[in-house]
Amino acid sequence: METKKRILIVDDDIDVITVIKTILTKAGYEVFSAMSKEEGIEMLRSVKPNLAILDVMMTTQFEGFELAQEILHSPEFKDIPFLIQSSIEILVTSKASVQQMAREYRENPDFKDLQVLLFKNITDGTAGIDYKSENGKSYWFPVKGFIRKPVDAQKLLPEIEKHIR
Amino acid sequence: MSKLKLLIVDDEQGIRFGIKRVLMNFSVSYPFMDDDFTFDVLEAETGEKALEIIESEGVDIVLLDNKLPGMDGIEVLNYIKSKNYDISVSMITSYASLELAVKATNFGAYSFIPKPFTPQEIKTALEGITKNLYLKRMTKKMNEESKQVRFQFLSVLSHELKSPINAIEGYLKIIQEKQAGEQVDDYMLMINRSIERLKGMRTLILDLLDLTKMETDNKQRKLVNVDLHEIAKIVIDTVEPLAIQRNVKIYLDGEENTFINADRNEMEIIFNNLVSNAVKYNREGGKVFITIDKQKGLIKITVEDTGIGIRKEDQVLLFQDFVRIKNAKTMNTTGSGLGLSITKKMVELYNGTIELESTPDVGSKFIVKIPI
Repeated sequence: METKKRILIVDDDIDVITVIKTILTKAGYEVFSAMSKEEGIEMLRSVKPNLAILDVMMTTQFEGFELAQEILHSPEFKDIPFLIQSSIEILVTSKASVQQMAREYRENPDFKDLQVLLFKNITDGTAGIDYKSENGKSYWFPVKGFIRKPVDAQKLLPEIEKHIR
Repeated sequence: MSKLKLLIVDDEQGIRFGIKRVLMNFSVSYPFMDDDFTFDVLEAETGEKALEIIESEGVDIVLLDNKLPGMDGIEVLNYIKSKNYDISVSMITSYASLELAVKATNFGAYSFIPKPFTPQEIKTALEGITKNLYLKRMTKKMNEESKQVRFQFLSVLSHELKSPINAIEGYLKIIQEKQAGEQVDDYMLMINRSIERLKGMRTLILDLLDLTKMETDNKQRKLVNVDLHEIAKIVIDTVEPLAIQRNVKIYLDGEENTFINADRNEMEIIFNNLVSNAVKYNREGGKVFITIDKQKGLIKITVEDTGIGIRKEDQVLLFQDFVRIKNAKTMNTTGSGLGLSITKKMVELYNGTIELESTPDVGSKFIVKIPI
């Protein structure tokens, strides 16, 4: 029998967890959840998921981003793909690299003061996040993709299938 | 020690030299300033030169003679004003006349020093200018910070408003697509949770109204003699349905007719927030003890529960806007995260304090003290 693919949801909203869990369980995934960065790290270790879905604002404003960076920088977790859940607009490009695009947007007076910018290249599917943390420092990191809130099965499942084979 | 750049604009070298010497070992300090101020003195013999220095070096204070060769003092002043520079200007001139003084003040000069002056007069004038500059800059900084705080508040608020909408919309989509079965019963949990989240939103909106009322309608506060015992009974009555549902018993201890000069509405909000929290975060079959105690010079209100308690590291965060302690024990309880922050602000309106003693899994005790 084929073993089920494991997905970890990290979100501090129990109802969002329930919604995603319902959809993913029905689609045949095994779903785990955590409600904070720390719990998330413990679950990454014990569950070893095939994919993680991270919410951004939990107890602290950028908790999900911090968790994302820990995943990227940890030898243990760096191969686990993750998606970021967000309700803000995603800026798209079809040509430039997303990091190049982020640099350009940061120089644009309309965007430079925004705390979070999400970028996606619709041709090659690369994506990334540029955000200013509370200490005023600006961070860039790549992500596999985004999930827009409110969660919708029609959009959630294809996005997940892209990253889990 | 902080340095202020001071520019002397006068065509008489003797005046410039004199002021410079007076300021050499001079510093300004006030108890309310974090720092003493000394002066870096720059000189200009004409108005044109003065503008050049202002543009290239940036200065904090200008001592400005009016009668200059070429452009005069008023023109320099006008230039500084038109550029909106953060510079305090003081006019020095022997041609002191009422007319010039009025004109200079209209163009934004801070003060007027008539020539001839003694070293002490210059020092006194500079103390005033420095104080003014310091306060002006502090005020500006504080305004910017409060704008920052407002922005932060709004961004958290919009997140708190979006969260329940996202949750409910997610549930509705699942129901719409019949993802979890054909029967209504298959969705009971989701429907109940949606109703719960809607209730939470309503609480948030009501709390927000309390908060705005408190910030804007100070004049609508009506301070009258309020019986706290009576207020407590009314609040217990309001919270009772929830308490029965959770099988929590509420006890009230205190003398009847404990009067305080206060706004009735505000006292109700304080009691209501504390007592409803004590019920909400209690265990099934738990207890809530309310005591009202009139002591020497103060009224002490305590609300104690036998609930889940709050960890030490969470206690410090508890009274901030939108802070809700999220863990496995609280995840099914909804709230706006504003109740305790509002309570604290209200207690502080009466110069009171609110303290918390809490042990996880044993219970929490909130102690409000209001001086009378």
